[in-house]
Amino acid sequence: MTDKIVKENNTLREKYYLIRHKTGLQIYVFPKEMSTFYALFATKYGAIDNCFRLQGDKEWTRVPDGIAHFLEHKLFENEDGSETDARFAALGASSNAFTSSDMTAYEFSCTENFYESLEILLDFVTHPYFTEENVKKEQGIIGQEIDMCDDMPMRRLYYELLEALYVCNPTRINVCGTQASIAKITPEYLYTCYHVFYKPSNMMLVVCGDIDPDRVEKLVDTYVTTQKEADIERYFEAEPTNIVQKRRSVSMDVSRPLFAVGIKDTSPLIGTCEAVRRGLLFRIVSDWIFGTSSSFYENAYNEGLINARFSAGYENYRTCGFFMLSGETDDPEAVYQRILSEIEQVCLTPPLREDFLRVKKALYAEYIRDFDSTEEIANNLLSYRMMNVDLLEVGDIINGITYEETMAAMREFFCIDHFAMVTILPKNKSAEK
Amino acid sequence: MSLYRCSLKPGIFLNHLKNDRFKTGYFSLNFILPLSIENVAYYALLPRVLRSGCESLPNRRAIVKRLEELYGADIYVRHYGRGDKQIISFAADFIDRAYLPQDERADVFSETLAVLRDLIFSPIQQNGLFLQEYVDMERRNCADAVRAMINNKQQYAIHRCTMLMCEGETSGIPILGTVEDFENLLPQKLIECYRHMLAHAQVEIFYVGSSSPAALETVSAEFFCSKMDGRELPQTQSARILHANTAKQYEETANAVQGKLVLGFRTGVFLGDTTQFAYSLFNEIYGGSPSSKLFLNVREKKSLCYSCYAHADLLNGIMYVAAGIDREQKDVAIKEILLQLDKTRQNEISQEELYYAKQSLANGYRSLYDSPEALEVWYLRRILAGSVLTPEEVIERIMQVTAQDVAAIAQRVSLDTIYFLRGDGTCTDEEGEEDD
Repeated sequence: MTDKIVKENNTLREKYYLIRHKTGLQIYVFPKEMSTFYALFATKYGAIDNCFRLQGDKEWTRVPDGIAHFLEHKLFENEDGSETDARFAALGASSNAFTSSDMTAYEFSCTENFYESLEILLDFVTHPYFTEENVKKEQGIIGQEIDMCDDMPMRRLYYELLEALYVCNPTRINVCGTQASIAKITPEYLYTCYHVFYKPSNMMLVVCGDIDPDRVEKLVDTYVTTQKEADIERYFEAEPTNIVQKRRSVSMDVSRPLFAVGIKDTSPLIGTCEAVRRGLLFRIVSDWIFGTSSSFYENAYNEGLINARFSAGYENYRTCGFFMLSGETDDPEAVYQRILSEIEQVCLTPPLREDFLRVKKALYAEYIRDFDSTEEIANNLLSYRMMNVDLLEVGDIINGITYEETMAAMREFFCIDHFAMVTILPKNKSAEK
Repeated sequence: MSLYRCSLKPGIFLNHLKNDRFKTGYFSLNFILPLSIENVAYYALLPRVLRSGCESLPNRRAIVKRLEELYGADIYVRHYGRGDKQIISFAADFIDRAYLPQDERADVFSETLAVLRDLIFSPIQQNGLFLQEYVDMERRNCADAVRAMINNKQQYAIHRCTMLMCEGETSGIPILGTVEDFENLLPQKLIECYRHMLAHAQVEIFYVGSSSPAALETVSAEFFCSKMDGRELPQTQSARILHANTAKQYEETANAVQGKLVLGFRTGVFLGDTTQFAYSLFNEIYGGSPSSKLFLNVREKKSLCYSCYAHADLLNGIMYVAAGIDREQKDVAIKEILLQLDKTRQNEISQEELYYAKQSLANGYRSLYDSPEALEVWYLRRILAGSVLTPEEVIERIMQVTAQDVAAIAQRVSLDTIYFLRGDGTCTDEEGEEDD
């Protein structure tokens, strides 16, 4: 049976309702008095989920790369020929969708007609319609999207880094797939993936705005019907702890060399809800050691080794985690050496506790700021939920991270064997006037 | 929530929007000057030099540390163009005191404004000039930013189209400056530009948050107005080009897989004109949303691209249509883009299209209230255009527009320039992989 619970955070003065629907769908209603309403209907199905079976099946099914993203595009097509975007537009709502390595989400935002718009969201996501003809048409559109992304240097840099760090982890797979892999996609493949991953027990509905949870639940009753559930089993090849390459480089039409230094996280916590705390801890580390208030940043910036586009952070995924530092420089090797010696230095001589406390305070403030937007709230609630963590507890997690555990985690994590650097070097430009 | 606007001194204005829904407050100080090729690079550089350090916080690190102490308050400096003006902007946002832990109710608002004040009015000077070290560092960064435009091919193509289309016009001034500008920069002129800005620019202060207008008047007077005299604002209006007679064509190549097509149009309509409302609807119907003619035809029916959209800048009277396409499809794409414009001109606009576009614009305008920055952009544009309307007032006017009005606007729009950045199909070379 459906049950409803309330989660509250008194410091933030925020609360939400969690409704566990009888179909297994988890519904999150976050009331917020703002002008906009925002809704996300998401499935725990992304580019990494390319080999799977249902409990009881003998055979594993392997599908072409890029299919989750392809499916996302195709779900906007309806059997009666109507355009999903037009249905939202008639209500003044604007719709969109995105696919990542870990999930697919359909969203809309509006300032009026929220419940009517929610009906459309629930309706189109629960009604797939794939044909030979509409699949062929999409191959042209997504083909152009792949070309566009191949021309984006930062995106290339990111995937090149994953290639250098991971032997077989599926997060390496380009979310859009390749021209060759999307050519293999058929309506049958799409239906197979749809029926496995778009079942209520694998999905979440998150809504934020001036919303009544009971009305949301009633709508879900109408559109989301109980299905016989078999659990999904996903196959991921075991990733070894070693990296693939220390260095990797491509050349593109860019003005200066771009670099990304990655450090592969081999912690057993990855994939558990403790990974969120670990991610936040390394987010503090990135601000503390490499952020704009660090001595590393000040020196490297003043020497012209890095510029304002330098960034550092920890990336947290369902099946992997890594630390990444990226930017533009004329001398990638010098930046790499500087990063290395900085890490060596801080592991030997612990930096000031007051600096740690200050960046932690700023991170907490950033968390509070994210409650000023219905879109941010819904997206953050969803991504934390995908990792089995409650958004309203994240502030306490941040506040609970100590200097001592951070130092210990750093010393254990920064192992030279797990470092790689990729670069994008400039080609001779032909377009410059 | 309505705009409260008042003059604090001649030429210095406070714009106040009371809003209790946010956990943060937003404050900005904008210096507005005529856009000129003579000094655009100087004003692009200036806010970066000021952001490098001031007497009380002498370097970037000291500034960031101070802001982190103030619960992660943020300060951003920017230089950008709006029509025939350039804007040098200093903005801050900060957590509302009510959400700080009980034991730490620091006055984050005034403390952050004090940092902003020091950055603007108390730069480090040496022998009557800005610190040479900061000037050199930031002019190198400015030149890098100019060179880095090529990294984003779509934006680069739009930039090139604008330069070619608007050569000799204010709109054709490269807002980031040029590499040569930064190589030949005169330190003396930089500090003269700074003094000129403080003494002569139109100053627009914006605040969005929970404090009252009276409180803002007091704090603005104390922190900022006390440092500046009133000023007389020149009444300038650069020449407007309403129509293009023939379309110029340009093609350049880049090492890229995809080609970037940009069509530049003269809109014949400017912000503040009575036709601006019909124009907004025209843009929406033609290429402003996933229900637009360009999206539904160029992308969905013809599968020519992933993105194809129209974007208008009514302060400059310019519209772009941009699409990323296969390099062999250039002519097909141009034909389809212009065909959809012709259909709009011939009033092939269904009642649904008109209705969807009205709903979509209204939704966008009502959403502005959830973003302080978006509200500032809205009002600042309209202050510059000399016609300040609230989002509700614009929605009301939009609702009265007919399909006939939209077709009339489409007839007014004229194609000026076709620009194509032809990808050579080879975006990357793998090189020198080493396993060690």
